[in-house]
Amino acid sequence: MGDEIADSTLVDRVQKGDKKAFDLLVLKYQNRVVNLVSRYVRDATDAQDIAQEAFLKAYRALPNFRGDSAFYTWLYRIAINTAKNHVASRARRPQEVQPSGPDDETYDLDEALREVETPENLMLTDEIQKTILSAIEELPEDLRIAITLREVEGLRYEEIAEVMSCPIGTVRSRIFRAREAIDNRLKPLLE
Amino acid sequence: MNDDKLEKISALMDGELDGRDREIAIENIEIDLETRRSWQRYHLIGDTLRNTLPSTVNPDLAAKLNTMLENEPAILAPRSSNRFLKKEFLKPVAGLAIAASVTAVAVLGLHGSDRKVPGSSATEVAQTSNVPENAPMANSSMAKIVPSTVRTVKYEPIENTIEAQRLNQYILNHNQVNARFGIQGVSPNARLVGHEAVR
Repeated sequence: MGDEIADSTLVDRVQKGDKKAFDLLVLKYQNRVVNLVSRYVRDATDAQDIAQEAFLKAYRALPNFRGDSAFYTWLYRIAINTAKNHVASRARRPQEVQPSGPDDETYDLDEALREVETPENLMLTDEIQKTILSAIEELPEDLRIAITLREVEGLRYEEIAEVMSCPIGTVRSRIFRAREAIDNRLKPLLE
Repeated sequence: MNDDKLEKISALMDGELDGRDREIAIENIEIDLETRRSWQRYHLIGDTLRNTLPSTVNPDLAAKLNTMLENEPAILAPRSSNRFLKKEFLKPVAGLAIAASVTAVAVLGLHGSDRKVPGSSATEVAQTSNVPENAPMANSSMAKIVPSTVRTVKYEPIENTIEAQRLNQYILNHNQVNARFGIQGVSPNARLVGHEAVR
Protein backbone atom coordinates (compact mmCIF):
# COMPACT_ATOMS: atom_id res chain seq x y z
CA MET A 1 0.00 0.00 0.00
CA GLY A 2 1.21 3.48 -0.82
CA ASP A 3 0.27 4.59 2.64
CA GLU A 4 3.04 2.45 4.04
CA ILE A 5 5.66 4.18 1.92
CA ALA A 6 4.75 7.53 3.48
CA ASP A 7 4.80 5.92 6.95
CA SER A 8 8.15 4.33 6.27
CA THR A 9 9.60 7.70 5.22
CA LEU A 10 8.27 9.31 8.40
CA VAL A 11 9.60 6.49 10.57
CA ASP A 12 13.00 6.80 8.90
CA ARG A 13 13.05 10.48 9.72
CA VAL A 14 12.10 9.90 13.36
CA GLN A 15 14.83 7.29 13.63
CA LYS A 16 17.29 9.86 12.40
CA GLY A 17 16.32 12.27 15.15
CA ASP A 18 13.45 14.18 13.53
CA LYS A 19 10.90 14.42 16.35
CA LYS A 20 8.45 16.45 14.27
CA ALA A 21 8.02 13.57 11.88
CA PHE A 22 6.53 11.61 14.78
CA ASP A 23 3.96 14.39 15.25
CA LEU A 24 2.81 13.74 11.68
CA LEU A 25 2.31 10.07 12.50
CA VAL A 26 0.36 11.01 15.63
CA LEU A 27 -1.90 13.36 13.66
CA LYS A 28 -2.48 10.62 11.13
CA TYR A 29 -3.27 7.81 13.55
CA GLN A 30 -4.63 9.48 16.69
CA ASN A 31 -8.32 8.99 15.91
CA ARG A 32 -7.87 5.43 14.71
CA VAL A 33 -5.86 4.52 17.81
CA VAL A 34 -8.38 6.10 20.21
CA ASN A 35 -11.18 4.34 18.34
CA LEU A 36 -9.34 1.01 18.62
CA VAL A 37 -8.61 1.47 22.33
CA SER A 38 -12.27 2.38 22.94
CA ARG A 39 -13.15 -1.25 22.22
CA TYR A 40 -11.28 -2.24 25.36
CA VAL A 41 -12.22 0.59 27.72
CA ARG A 42 -15.56 2.27 27.88
CA ASP A 43 -14.45 5.54 29.40
CA ALA A 44 -13.51 8.12 26.73
CA THR A 45 -10.96 9.82 29.01
CA ASP A 46 -9.26 6.48 29.69
CA ALA A 47 -9.20 5.76 25.97
CA GLN A 48 -7.46 9.08 25.29
CA ASP A 49 -4.93 8.46 28.08
CA ILE A 50 -4.18 4.96 26.83
CA ALA A 51 -3.78 6.20 23.27
CA GLN A 52 -1.39 8.87 24.52
CA GLU A 53 0.60 6.27 26.46
CA ALA A 54 0.68 3.97 23.44
CA PHE A 55 2.11 6.73 21.26
CA LEU A 56 4.73 7.49 23.88
CA LYS A 57 5.68 3.81 24.09
CA ALA A 58 5.84 3.64 20.32
CA TYR A 59 8.16 6.64 20.20
CA ARG A 60 10.47 5.07 22.78
CA ALA A 61 10.43 1.73 20.99
CA LEU A 62 11.01 3.18 17.52
CA PRO A 63 14.79 2.61 17.61
CA ASN A 64 13.97 -1.10 17.66
CA PHE A 65 11.36 -0.92 14.88
CA ARG A 66 12.97 -2.55 11.87
CA GLY A 67 10.06 -2.31 9.46
CA ASP A 68 9.39 -6.05 9.34
CA SER A 69 5.69 -5.20 9.63
CA ALA A 70 3.80 -2.07 8.60
CA PHE A 71 4.10 0.81 11.07
CA TYR A 72 0.35 0.91 11.76
CA THR A 73 0.27 -2.84 12.50
CA TRP A 74 3.09 -2.35 14.98
CA LEU A 75 1.43 0.72 16.50
CA TYR A 76 -1.95 -1.03 16.81
CA ARG A 77 -0.25 -3.92 18.61
CA ILE A 78 1.28 -1.51 21.11
CA ALA A 79 -2.08 0.22 21.60
CA ILE A 80 -3.93 -3.07 22.15
CA ASN A 81 -1.32 -4.29 24.64
CA THR A 82 -1.42 -0.98 26.50
CA ALA A 83 -5.22 -1.18 26.68
CA LYS A 84 -5.13 -4.80 27.88
CA ASN A 85 -2.57 -3.93 30.56
CA HIS A 86 -4.76 -1.06 31.68
CA VAL A 87 -7.80 -3.33 31.96
CA ALA A 88 -5.77 -5.96 33.85
CA SER A 89 -4.33 -3.44 36.31
CA ARG A 90 -7.82 -2.04 36.91
CA ALA A 91 -9.06 -5.53 37.69
CA ARG A 92 -6.20 -6.12 40.17
CA ARG A 93 -6.61 -2.77 41.92
CA PRO A 94 -8.75 -2.85 45.09
CA GLN A 95 -12.11 -1.18 44.71
CA GLU A 96 -11.76 2.52 45.39
CA VAL A 97 -14.47 4.81 46.63
CA GLN A 98 -15.43 6.87 43.63
CA PRO A 99 -16.16 10.54 44.14
CA SER A 100 -19.78 11.24 43.35
CA GLY A 101 -19.48 14.84 42.27
CA PRO A 102 -18.40 18.38 43.16
CA ASP A 103 -20.19 18.20 46.52
CA ASP A 104 -18.17 15.20 47.58
CA GLU A 105 -15.10 16.12 49.64
CA THR A 106 -12.89 13.71 47.72
CA TYR A 107 -13.95 15.10 44.37
CA ASP A 108 -10.84 15.61 42.30
CA LEU A 109 -10.99 18.81 40.31
CA ASP A 110 -8.08 17.78 38.09
CA GLU A 111 -9.95 14.64 37.23
CA ALA A 112 -12.91 16.71 36.16
CA LEU A 113 -10.78 19.07 34.15
CA ARG A 114 -9.10 16.32 32.23
CA GLU A 115 -12.43 14.87 31.21
CA VAL A 116 -12.54 14.42 27.48
CA GLU A 117 -16.18 13.55 27.16
CA THR A 118 -17.30 17.09 27.85
CA PRO A 119 -20.54 18.32 26.28
CA GLU A 120 -18.44 20.66 24.14
CA ASN A 121 -16.28 17.84 22.82
CA LEU A 122 -19.26 15.58 22.22
CA MET A 123 -20.99 18.36 20.34
CA LEU A 124 -17.84 19.11 18.38
CA THR A 125 -17.46 15.48 17.32
CA ASP A 126 -21.07 15.38 16.22
CA GLU A 127 -20.63 18.62 14.28
CA ILE A 128 -17.48 17.35 12.59
CA GLN A 129 -19.25 14.22 11.38
CA LYS A 130 -22.33 16.07 10.14
CA THR A 131 -20.28 18.71 8.37
CA ILE A 132 -18.04 16.23 6.58
CA LEU A 133 -20.90 13.98 5.51
CA SER A 134 -23.01 16.84 4.24
CA ALA A 135 -20.00 18.35 2.42
CA ILE A 136 -19.43 14.99 0.71
CA GLU A 137 -23.07 14.92 -0.40
CA GLU A 138 -22.70 18.32 -1.98
CA LEU A 139 -19.58 17.47 -3.97
CA PRO A 140 -19.77 17.11 -7.74
CA GLU A 141 -20.09 13.42 -8.62
CA ASP A 142 -16.58 12.97 -10.06
CA LEU A 143 -14.99 14.40 -6.92
CA ARG A 144 -17.25 12.38 -4.61
CA ILE A 145 -16.51 9.11 -6.40
CA ALA A 146 -12.77 9.81 -6.45
CA ILE A 147 -12.48 10.56 -2.73
CA THR A 148 -14.78 7.68 -1.79
CA LEU A 149 -12.76 5.19 -3.83
CA ARG A 150 -9.60 6.45 -2.16
CA GLU A 151 -10.70 6.87 1.46
CA VAL A 152 -13.36 4.20 1.82
CA GLU A 153 -12.24 1.56 -0.68
CA GLY A 154 -8.53 2.27 -0.24
CA LEU A 155 -7.79 2.16 -3.97
CA ARG A 156 -4.55 3.52 -5.37
CA TYR A 157 -4.58 6.40 -7.87
CA GLU A 158 -3.77 4.01 -10.69
CA GLU A 159 -6.76 1.83 -9.85
CA ILE A 160 -9.08 4.82 -9.47
CA ALA A 161 -7.88 6.10 -12.87
CA GLU A 162 -8.86 2.77 -14.37
CA VAL A 163 -12.27 2.74 -12.68
CA MET A 164 -13.01 6.34 -13.65
CA SER A 165 -11.36 6.10 -17.08
CA CYS A 166 -9.22 9.18 -16.63
CA PRO A 167 -5.50 9.98 -16.27
CA ILE A 168 -3.78 9.54 -12.90
CA GLY A 169 -3.11 13.30 -12.76
CA THR A 170 -6.84 13.93 -12.95
CA VAL A 171 -7.46 11.49 -10.09
CA ARG A 172 -4.87 13.27 -7.96
CA SER A 173 -6.46 16.64 -8.71
CA ARG A 174 -10.03 15.42 -8.06
CA ILE A 175 -9.11 13.91 -4.71
CA PHE A 176 -7.32 17.09 -3.68
CA ARG A 177 -10.24 19.30 -4.76
CA ALA A 178 -12.66 17.07 -2.85
CA ARG A 179 -10.54 17.35 0.29
CA GLU A 180 -10.25 21.08 -0.08
CA ALA A 181 -14.01 21.52 -0.54
CA ILE A 182 -14.72 19.50 2.62
CA ASP A 183 -11.90 21.20 4.49
CA ASN A 184 -13.30 24.64 3.73
CA ARG A 185 -16.44 23.63 5.62
CA LEU A 186 -14.53 21.92 8.40
CA LYS A 187 -11.94 24.59 9.13
CA PRO A 188 -14.23 27.05 10.96
CA LEU A 189 -15.29 24.31 13.39
CA LEU A 190 -11.75 23.61 14.54
CA GLU A 191 -10.40 27.14 14.77
CA MET B 1 -2.20 28.93 0.67
CA ASN B 2 -0.42 27.48 -2.32
CA ASP B 3 -2.72 24.90 -3.94
CA ASP B 4 0.16 23.05 -5.52
CA LYS B 5 1.76 22.60 -2.10
CA LEU B 6 -1.50 21.30 -0.62
CA GLU B 7 -2.11 18.99 -3.57
CA LYS B 8 1.25 17.41 -2.77
CA ILE B 9 0.25 17.03 0.88
CA SER B 10 -2.93 15.31 -0.31
CA ALA B 11 -0.87 12.99 -2.54
CA LEU B 12 1.59 12.35 0.29
CA MET B 13 -1.12 11.07 2.61
CA ASP B 14 -2.26 8.71 -0.14
CA GLY B 15 1.30 7.45 -0.55
CA GLU B 16 1.40 8.76 -4.11
CA LEU B 17 4.39 11.07 -3.87
CA ASP B 18 7.86 9.95 -4.80
CA GLY B 19 11.40 10.57 -3.61
CA ARG B 20 12.41 14.17 -3.18
CA ASP B 21 8.83 15.48 -3.52
CA ARG B 22 7.86 13.33 -0.57
CA GLU B 23 10.67 14.70 1.58
CA ILE B 24 9.83 18.30 0.62
CA ALA B 25 6.14 17.78 1.42
CA ILE B 26 7.02 16.37 4.85
CA GLU B 27 9.33 19.29 5.56
CA ASN B 28 6.55 21.69 4.56
CA ILE B 29 4.19 20.16 7.12
CA GLU B 30 6.88 20.23 9.79
CA ILE B 31 7.73 23.91 9.36
CA ASP B 32 4.38 25.41 8.45
CA LEU B 33 1.64 25.36 11.09
CA GLU B 34 -1.15 25.96 8.58
CA THR B 35 0.01 23.04 6.42
CA ARG B 36 0.20 20.88 9.56
CA ARG B 37 -3.44 21.75 10.31
CA SER B 38 -4.44 20.79 6.78
CA TRP B 39 -2.66 17.44 7.24
CA GLN B 40 -4.63 16.92 10.47
CA ARG B 41 -7.98 17.87 8.93
CA TYR B 42 -7.43 15.79 5.78
CA HIS B 43 -6.92 12.76 8.03
CA LEU B 44 -9.97 13.68 10.07
CA ILE B 45 -11.99 13.63 6.83
CA GLY B 46 -10.63 10.17 6.01
CA ASP B 47 -11.40 8.88 9.51
CA THR B 48 -14.97 10.14 9.28
CA LEU B 49 -15.52 8.55 5.87
CA ARG B 50 -14.10 5.23 7.04
CA ASN B 51 -16.09 5.45 10.25
CA THR B 52 -12.98 5.16 12.42
CA LEU B 53 -13.69 8.29 14.40
CA PRO B 54 -13.92 7.77 18.18
CA SER B 55 -17.04 8.84 20.04
CA THR B 56 -15.19 11.95 21.19
CA VAL B 57 -12.59 13.75 19.15
CA ASN B 58 -9.97 15.44 21.23
CA PRO B 59 -8.26 18.06 19.09
CA ASP B 60 -5.61 18.57 21.79
CA LEU B 61 -4.26 15.02 21.93
CA ALA B 62 -1.38 15.62 19.52
CA ALA B 63 -0.48 18.91 21.20
CA LYS B 64 -0.42 17.22 24.63
CA LEU B 65 1.73 14.45 23.29
CA ASN B 66 4.10 16.97 21.73
CA THR B 67 4.57 18.55 25.15
CA MET B 68 5.35 15.13 26.63
CA LEU B 69 7.76 14.34 23.82
CA GLU B 70 9.69 17.53 24.46
CA ASN B 71 11.25 15.77 27.46
CA GLU B 72 12.10 12.71 25.42
CA PRO B 73 15.53 12.48 23.82
CA ALA B 74 15.64 12.54 20.04
CA ILE B 75 16.15 9.12 18.53
CA LEU B 76 19.42 8.60 16.77
CA ALA B 77 19.11 5.12 15.41
CA PRO B 78 19.33 5.37 11.63
CA ARG B 79 18.25 2.25 9.87
CA SER B 80 21.10 0.49 8.18
CA SER B 81 21.44 1.58 4.57
CA ASN B 82 22.78 -1.83 3.52
CA ARG B 83 19.53 -3.67 4.11
CA PHE B 84 20.21 -5.65 0.98
CA LEU B 85 23.33 -7.07 2.57
CA LYS B 86 21.46 -7.95 5.73
CA LYS B 87 18.42 -9.51 4.17
CA GLU B 88 19.56 -10.82 0.82
CA PHE B 89 23.12 -11.85 1.55
CA LEU B 90 23.72 -12.45 5.22
CA LYS B 91 20.61 -14.52 5.84
CA PRO B 92 21.52 -17.32 3.39
CA VAL B 93 25.16 -17.28 4.54
CA ALA B 94 24.12 -17.44 8.18
CA GLY B 95 21.66 -20.19 7.29
CA LEU B 96 24.40 -22.12 5.54
CA ALA B 97 26.72 -21.75 8.52
CA ILE B 98 24.02 -22.95 10.90
CA ALA B 99 23.20 -25.89 8.62
CA ALA B 100 26.88 -26.78 8.39
CA SER B 101 27.25 -26.60 12.16
CA VAL B 102 24.21 -28.80 12.72
CA THR B 103 25.50 -31.31 10.16
CA ALA B 104 28.91 -31.33 11.82
CA VAL B 105 27.34 -31.99 15.20
CA ALA B 106 25.22 -34.77 13.73
CA VAL B 107 28.18 -36.38 11.98
CA LEU B 108 30.40 -36.12 15.04
CA GLY B 109 27.59 -37.39 17.24
CA LEU B 110 27.00 -40.44 15.08
CA HIS B 111 30.68 -41.10 14.87
CA GLY B 112 31.04 -40.72 18.61
CA SER B 113 28.30 -43.19 19.30
CA ASP B 114 30.01 -45.83 17.18
CA ARG B 115 33.47 -45.48 18.61
CA LYS B 116 35.03 -44.41 21.78
CA VAL B 117 36.78 -41.14 21.06
CA PRO B 118 40.36 -41.29 22.28
CA GLY B 119 41.14 -39.18 25.25
CA SER B 120 37.57 -38.89 26.36
CA SER B 121 38.37 -39.82 29.92
CA ALA B 122 41.23 -39.32 32.28
CA THR B 123 41.57 -43.09 32.76
CA GLU B 124 42.08 -43.65 29.07
CA VAL B 125 44.72 -40.98 28.95
CA ALA B 126 46.49 -42.65 31.82
CA GLN B 127 46.42 -46.03 30.12
CA THR B 128 47.36 -44.96 26.64
CA SER B 129 50.59 -46.57 25.62
CA ASN B 130 51.74 -43.48 23.77
CA VAL B 131 51.83 -41.45 26.92
CA PRO B 132 55.12 -41.59 28.78
CA GLU B 133 54.99 -43.33 32.11
CA ASN B 134 56.15 -40.32 34.00
CA ALA B 135 53.67 -37.94 32.33
CA PRO B 136 52.09 -35.67 34.95
CA MET B 137 48.56 -36.73 33.99
CA ALA B 138 49.16 -40.33 35.05
CA ASN B 139 50.02 -39.28 38.54
CA SER B 140 47.70 -36.37 38.80
CA SER B 141 44.84 -36.19 41.21
CA MET B 142 42.46 -36.09 38.25
CA ALA B 143 43.39 -39.65 37.35
CA LYS B 144 42.96 -40.78 40.91
CA ILE B 145 39.45 -39.43 41.41
CA VAL B 146 37.93 -41.25 38.49
CA PRO B 147 35.05 -43.30 39.86
CA SER B 148 35.43 -47.03 39.83
CA THR B 149 32.32 -47.48 37.73
CA VAL B 150 34.03 -45.97 34.69
CA ARG B 151 34.75 -48.71 32.22
CA THR B 152 38.33 -48.86 31.09
CA VAL B 153 38.56 -48.93 27.32
CA LYS B 154 41.69 -49.64 25.46
CA TYR B 155 42.60 -46.86 23.09
CA GLU B 156 41.89 -47.76 19.51
CA PRO B 157 42.99 -45.11 17.04
CA ILE B 158 40.58 -44.41 14.21
CA GLU B 159 41.79 -46.14 11.14
CA ASN B 160 42.69 -44.05 8.17
CA THR B 161 39.60 -45.05 6.30
CA ILE B 162 37.88 -43.12 3.51
CA GLU B 163 35.23 -42.17 6.04
CA ALA B 164 37.79 -40.66 8.40
CA GLN B 165 39.46 -38.74 5.57
CA ARG B 166 36.15 -37.33 4.39
CA LEU B 167 35.21 -36.28 7.89
CA ASN B 168 38.56 -34.60 8.36
CA GLN B 169 38.24 -32.73 5.04
CA TYR B 170 34.69 -31.68 5.93
CA ILE B 171 35.74 -30.18 9.26
CA LEU B 172 38.65 -28.37 7.65
CA ASN B 173 36.35 -26.89 4.98
CA HIS B 174 33.82 -25.92 7.59
CA ASN B 175 36.40 -24.07 9.64
CA GLN B 176 37.73 -22.27 6.57
CA VAL B 177 34.23 -21.02 5.71
CA ASN B 178 33.69 -19.92 9.31
CA ALA B 179 37.01 -18.10 9.38
CA ARG B 180 36.23 -16.29 6.09
CA PHE B 181 32.91 -14.92 7.35
CA GLY B 182 34.04 -14.42 10.89
CA ILE B 183 31.47 -16.91 12.13
CA GLN B 184 32.09 -19.05 15.13
CA GLY B 185 30.50 -22.46 14.94
CA VAL B 186 28.73 -24.39 17.63
CA SER B 187 31.94 -24.82 19.57
CA PRO B 188 33.91 -21.61 19.43
CA ASN B 189 36.66 -23.06 21.60
CA ALA B 190 37.30 -26.00 19.31
CA ARG B 191 38.32 -24.09 16.22
CA LEU B 192 39.99 -27.02 14.51
CA VAL B 193 39.19 -30.63 15.11
CA GLY B 194 40.69 -33.52 13.26
CA HIS B 195 40.73 -37.28 13.36
CA GLU B 196 43.93 -38.90 12.34
CA ALA B 197 45.35 -42.22 13.21
CA VAL B 198 48.21 -42.16 15.63
CA ARG B 199 51.35 -42.83 13.76
